[in-house]
Amino acid sequence: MRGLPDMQQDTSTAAVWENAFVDAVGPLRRGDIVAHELDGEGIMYDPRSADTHRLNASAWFIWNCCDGRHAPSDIAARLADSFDVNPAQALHHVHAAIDQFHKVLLITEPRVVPLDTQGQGSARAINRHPAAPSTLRSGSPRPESASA
Amino acid sequence: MNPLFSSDPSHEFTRRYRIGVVRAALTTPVSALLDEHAALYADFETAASDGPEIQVRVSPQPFSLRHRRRFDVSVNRRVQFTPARRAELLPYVEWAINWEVPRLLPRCLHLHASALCVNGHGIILPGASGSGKSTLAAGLLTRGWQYLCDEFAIIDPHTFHVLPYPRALCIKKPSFPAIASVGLATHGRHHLKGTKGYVGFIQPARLRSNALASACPVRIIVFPRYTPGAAPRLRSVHRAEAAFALHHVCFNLLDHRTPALEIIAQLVRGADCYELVSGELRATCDLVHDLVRRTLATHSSAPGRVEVA
Repeated sequence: MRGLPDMQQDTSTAAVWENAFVDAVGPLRRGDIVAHELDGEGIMYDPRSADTHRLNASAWFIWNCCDGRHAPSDIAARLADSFDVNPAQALHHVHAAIDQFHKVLLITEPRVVPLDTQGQGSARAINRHPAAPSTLRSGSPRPESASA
Repeated sequence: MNPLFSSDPSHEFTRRYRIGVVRAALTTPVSALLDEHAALYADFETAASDGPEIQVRVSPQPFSLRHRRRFDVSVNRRVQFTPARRAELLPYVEWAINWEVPRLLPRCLHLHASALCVNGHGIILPGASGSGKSTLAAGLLTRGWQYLCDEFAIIDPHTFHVLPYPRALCIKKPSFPAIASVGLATHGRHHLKGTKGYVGFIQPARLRSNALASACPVRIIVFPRYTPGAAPRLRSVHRAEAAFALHHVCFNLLDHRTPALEIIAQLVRGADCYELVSGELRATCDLVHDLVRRTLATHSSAPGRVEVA
């Protein structure tokens, strides 16, 4: 399982898992990505692949919304508020950006939680985990907003 | 025995140098090579080692039925190059030292860039080989700029200052007319440098008494791209774009990994960033010189105080 290092460190507390997965309704950025904002744009480094990514302002905005607590539609609404795009365009951009983030593994992949010894806790977690597969399934065109 | 082809250690001599933040020692029985190297770095020669140094040894290997005649150029006892021709030795010695600089200063970030200084403000010219860094740096030195380094911009990870390593500028033969147009000439004979053909060296310390700079903060980053015949022009570059580009010219990225991005991000936060299409050298120097004069005048607390030649 990747992308939730803080949660993984505290797996002994079932409530943490439960709350985390209940709260996770949208795409979640990987916690080990090193990211810096520079004049509204983003530059990030993936320590696993040693790749560097540059995100323009809108992609950086979307990335920062990928905290697992916002569905793409929520992110699109925020994007439309902050940038000069209508809601439909915003949703298109969000899907495209998330698709690109997923392709370059900047956000978590669909989660496969290993079974614990009772074989129940993790199963519950999977059931409760709305890892937004619809987001990851979206066949959006390549976004202009993220470049590697 | 001809010392040129002697492998007898008793024929070897060593000269030590402290070139800015880099200490290096050259050991060889090839006296002509020692003299050529000393002609470039006599101002930096030291009597004894006073710290970690890069040890370069050039050992002539005798011709045999199994091996062609060659010179082993080793760095810290590892053979790195085996040039066959005498004219290749000095460039390979320079190359061998460069090869080892990131290991000598592992905490620093090493960017593929020329670095200069105007009134205590650092200007770095990052770019891949062939982008025109060295030729542009040579041209700007004739405008009163001070020299920090060619090929390397060595960035201190704590102060984010660019550190001095005033190695000789290596100018490729096709650029000889350009540097002649600004009144410069390479020092001594020309040398063969691998696939790059003939090169010549310019030691900025020899140009004038105050040609070398001390460590200074980076204020301007200019990415040159030489385009023959092009009218020189500048384009302002977003800091994220600059950081992205710097990441790709970082020699020791894999050693630093995560901290490298933090150092680069901090570096560009304090700098104005530009992309330069460079053409004719004199016109390009005019453009860059004017940019720097205006930029530093804007940054200066006392406008008009900035004085450059």
